[in-house]
Amino acid sequence: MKYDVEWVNYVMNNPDWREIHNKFINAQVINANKKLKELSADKLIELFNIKNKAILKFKAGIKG
Amino acid sequence: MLVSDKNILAEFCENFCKVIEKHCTYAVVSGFFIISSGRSRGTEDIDLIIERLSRDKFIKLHDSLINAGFNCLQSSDANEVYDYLINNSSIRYISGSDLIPQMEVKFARDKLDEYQLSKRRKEPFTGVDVYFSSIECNIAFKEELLKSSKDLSDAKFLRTVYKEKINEPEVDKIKGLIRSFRLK
Repeated sequence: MKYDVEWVNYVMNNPDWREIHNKFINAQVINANKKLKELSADKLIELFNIKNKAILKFKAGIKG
Repeated sequence: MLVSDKNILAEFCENFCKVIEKHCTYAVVSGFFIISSGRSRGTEDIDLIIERLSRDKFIKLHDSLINAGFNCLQSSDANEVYDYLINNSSIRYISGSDLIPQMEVKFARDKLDEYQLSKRRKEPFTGVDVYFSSIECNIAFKEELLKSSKDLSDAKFLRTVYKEKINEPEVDKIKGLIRSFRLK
């Protein structure tokens, strides 16, 4: 992953860095969840070594 | 949209650790510390080391997590989950119906993990009220053990942001422990 010198300098010199950072992190988490909910239960089991399939289906409404 | 002063990962981590700290010593390790220090990169899980617990103590911890709204992906049976941990496998907890974030939990597996727990600290710059493994531990693991492009960039980021705080002899000491316990 590229080391972003400009952003590192921003973090070190601007107290509002966290607000920008939080927006980035929140968007990343929300998008990742959306993508995961499109995957089948079998694929999720493979991805995360999930054994508790019943809970997953119940809690997350996963297809498959 | 109102932006909280905490992001989703930070809120999840603080809520999880509030439960954990009532039962055992823990340290958040690796990627989440770097992200909380300002590095903008994605992650799906937060890594947590906890002290080794007896089966009875772990079942109480697991029950507390369930009561607080967390679910374990490996099993709802605490005994089955414990078997993962004692075999040095990790377990993953989620909150509610969202698959991300995940808390990946492991027992301390050797003297190096115990050292990380003993040196844990809160880092005000992160704005996250949990115990992290030390800056020096994070740098040493990234530079001596993990060494991918991402890990070396993470270490470089920490060295820049925390340049006034880093204890270099301590980094060297931890690198020595890594060579003794993980690279022999």
